Amino acid sequence: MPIDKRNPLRETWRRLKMNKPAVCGLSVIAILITSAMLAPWIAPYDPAAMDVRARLQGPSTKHFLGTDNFGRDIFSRIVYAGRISLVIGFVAVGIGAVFGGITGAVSGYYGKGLDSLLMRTMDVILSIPQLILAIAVVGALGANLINLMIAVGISVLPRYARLVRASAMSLRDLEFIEAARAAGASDLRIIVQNIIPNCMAPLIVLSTLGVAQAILSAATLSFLGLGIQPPTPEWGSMLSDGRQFLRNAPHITIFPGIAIMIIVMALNMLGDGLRDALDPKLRR
Amino acid sequence: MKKRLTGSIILLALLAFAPGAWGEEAMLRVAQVADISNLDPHKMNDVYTANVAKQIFNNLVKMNKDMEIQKDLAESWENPDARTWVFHLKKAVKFHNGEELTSGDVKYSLERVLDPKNASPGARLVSELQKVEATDRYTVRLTTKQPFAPLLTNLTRYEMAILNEKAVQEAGGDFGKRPVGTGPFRFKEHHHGDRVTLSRFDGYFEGPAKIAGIIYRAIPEDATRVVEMESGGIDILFNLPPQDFDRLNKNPQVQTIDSLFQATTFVGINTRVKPFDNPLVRQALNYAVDKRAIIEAVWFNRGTPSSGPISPSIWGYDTALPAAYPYNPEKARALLKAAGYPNGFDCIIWTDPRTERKSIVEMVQAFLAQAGVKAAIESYEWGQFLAETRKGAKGLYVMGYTGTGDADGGLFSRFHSTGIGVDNRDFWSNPELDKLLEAGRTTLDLAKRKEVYKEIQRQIVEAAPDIFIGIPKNLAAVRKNVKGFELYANNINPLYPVSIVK
Repeated sequence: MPIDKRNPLRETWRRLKMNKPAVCGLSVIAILITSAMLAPWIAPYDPAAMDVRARLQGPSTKHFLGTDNFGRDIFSRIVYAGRISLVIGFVAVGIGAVFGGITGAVSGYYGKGLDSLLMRTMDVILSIPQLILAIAVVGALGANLINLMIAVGISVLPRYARLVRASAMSLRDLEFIEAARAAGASDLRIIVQNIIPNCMAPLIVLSTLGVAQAILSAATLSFLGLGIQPPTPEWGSMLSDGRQFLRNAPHITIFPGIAIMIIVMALNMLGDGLRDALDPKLRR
Repeated sequence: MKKRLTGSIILLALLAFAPGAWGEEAMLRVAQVADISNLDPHKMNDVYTANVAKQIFNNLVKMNKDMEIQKDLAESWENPDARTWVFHLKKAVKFHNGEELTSGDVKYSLERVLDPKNASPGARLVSELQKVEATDRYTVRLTTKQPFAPLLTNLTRYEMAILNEKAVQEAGGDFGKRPVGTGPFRFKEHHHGDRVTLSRFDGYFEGPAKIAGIIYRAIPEDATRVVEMESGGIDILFNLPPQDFDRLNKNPQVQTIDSLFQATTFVGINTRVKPFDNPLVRQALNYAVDKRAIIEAVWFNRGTPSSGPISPSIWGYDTALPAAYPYNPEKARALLKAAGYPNGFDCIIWTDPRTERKSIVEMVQAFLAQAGVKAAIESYEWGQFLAETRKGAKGLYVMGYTGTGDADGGLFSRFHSTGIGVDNRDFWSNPELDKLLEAGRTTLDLAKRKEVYKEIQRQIVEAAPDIFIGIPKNLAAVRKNVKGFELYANNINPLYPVSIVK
C-alpha cells in the first residue's frame, strides 16, 4: 500500500478508518454532540418543567424514558444534560492540556532549575488525590459550572505537563532543533514551531481519553452536590437525585447512568484507535 | 448410651442459654437517623439525643400524646398567685444511683439550666424564672419575673430534666457520658457512631418496664434503615422516608404510623432585603408557590398545607384559619405588577444539603420562575446554614421549626424583635406584634390567651414574612409484635409503655 507522505493528518484518518471500534466511538460522539447542540429541537419537553401529577412514571410512549420525582421528562433532561457534560469534559481537558502542555514544553526545553521547580509543583498536585483536589478547588471557589471545569482541569493538569515534558526533552537535542537554533530562532519560536507540534500525537491521545475521565469527575462532583446547581440538568446530579428512589423507581437513576457509560465508552474506543493510528511504530 | 446422654445434656444446656429461651424479655431495637451527642440533658440540642434522654430522665411535668400536661415527678401543683408556682413532688422516687429525689435536686437542676456558665440551650425556655426555692423536702416554689403562661409546657421539654445533684458532682465534667436519672431505663454503654444501650431500671417509681432494655442504633442512610426494618434487624424505625411508606405498609410484619408533626416547613424571607421589604412581593411569592404540589412530590402526600406559622398540633393553633395563600399564579403576577415588578426580579434562595430540603427548594424555584422571579439556589452545610441565616440570609431560605407544644414556643422567638440575631431569621420587627406576643406570654386566662394567639396568627399570615409551605407527617414503622408504642408530635417518644410479644 502506498504511503501518503504529503499529509500526516490524512494518513492518520486513513488508518483510523480501518479501526472499527474507533469509528464506532467517533460516530457515537458525533451523534451525542449533535443531539446536545440540537437539544431544544430534539427534547420533547422543557427539562425544568415539573408535572407533579405525572411523577415517577416508568418509560411510556408519552415519556420515552419515564419521569423523575418532580414529573420532569428524563429523556429531555438527559439530552440537555449532555450539553453540560460534554462542555465540561472538553473544556476541562482543554484547560489541562493547554496549561499542562505549555508547562511541560517550557520545563522540558529549558531543563535545569526551572524544570525542577515546575515539575516539583506538578508532583505536589499529583500527590493529592484527583477527586479531593477537585473538591477543594470547588469548595474554595464556589460551586458553579466554570469553577467545576477549572477544578477538573487543574486536577488533570500534571499528567499533560509530564507527557509533553518527556517529549520535549527528547526533542531538544535533535538535529533539527540544533539547526533552528543555529539559524537564530528564538526560544519561543522553537517551542511554538518545533517542540509543541512534535508533541501533539501523544497529547491528542491522552486528551481524548481524558475527556471521558473529566466527564466522570464532573459527574462525581455533581453527585456529591458540588457541581451544577438546579434546575440545570447534569448526568451526575441526576444520578444523585435518583438514588433515594432506587427501590421504587430505578429508571430515574439507570438512564443517566447509561448515558455516562455510553459517552465514556465511546471516548475510550476513539482514544485507543487514535493511539494506534498516531503511533509511528505501528505504521506499515 | 452414655454418649447419647452427654449429647442431650449439652443440647439442653445450649437451649437454656440460647437468647430468647425461657421467656426471657427481649431488648427493643430502635433505629434513628443519627448518633447521640451528649447525654447531659442541660447540654443537648438535638432530637436524637433527646429521644434517648427521654428514657433515662423525668421532668416535673410531662405531655401525653395529645399534648396535654400530665404529672411526672410532681404529684400536684398550684398557683397561689400569677407569678408563683408550687410543685409537690412524688415521694420515694429513686435515682439510678439509689438516691431519693428531693426538692433540692429540682432546685439544683433548674438553677443549673439557668446558670449562664453552663450555656444550656434550654435556658431561654425558663428565662422568666426569677427564683427557685425548696420550701421543704418535697415542695418546690418557682417565682417568675412576670406572669408566664408557657411555663408548664416549657417544663415538659427534654432540656428541663431533673438530675441528681450528687451524681452530677461525682461525675465532674463527665455527666454526659455517665448520666443518672429517675427514668425507667438506665444508661449502659455507648459505641460512638453506632449504638447506645440502655437497660431496665427495676426501681422505677411507676414500676419496672416490660422490656429488658433498649438499643438505639444510628443508621443515617434512609435506604439502609428501611432495609433493616424489612429484614427484621430493628423493631422501631423513626424518620421513615415518605417514599418507602407505602411499600413498608404492605409488609405483613410491619405496621406504619403517620401522625401529625409539631414542626412546620417554610421558606423564610429576610424582610430587610429588597424587594422583600414590600408586603405585596411577599404575598405574591406565597401565591406563586403551589404548596400542595410540593407536599405531593416531596412528602408523597404525607403532610398538609400550612395555614400559618405553627402546626395544628400546637396549643393555641387557630383551627378557623384556612390554608394560607392557595396557589394562584395570576394573583401572584398581579401583585408583583402592583409592587412595581411586572417582569419579576432575581433573588437567592439558601438551603442545607439534605435531599428533602433541596427538593423543596427546587420546586419553589420552578414555581417562582413561572411568576418571573428567578431564584438561584445556594447550598450550605447545616451548621453554616444556621449561623449565616442568623446573621441574615441574602433573600430566601428553606427551614423547619419545631418550637414547643405551646404557641409561644413557635412564635415568640421567631417573630418578636428581640429574637433578631437568634431565631428571628426573617428579621421581622413590628411593635404591635411584639406587644401581642408579650401579651400571649403573660395572659394566664386560657380563653383570653387563645384569642391573643388567634390575632397573632392572623397578623403574621397577612404580613407573610415566610412562604408558608406545610406540616409534614411524622412517619415511623414498628414491627407488629411490638405493642404499646405511641408516636409523639414532637418525635420525642417515651418507650416505657412498650412491650414485645413473642
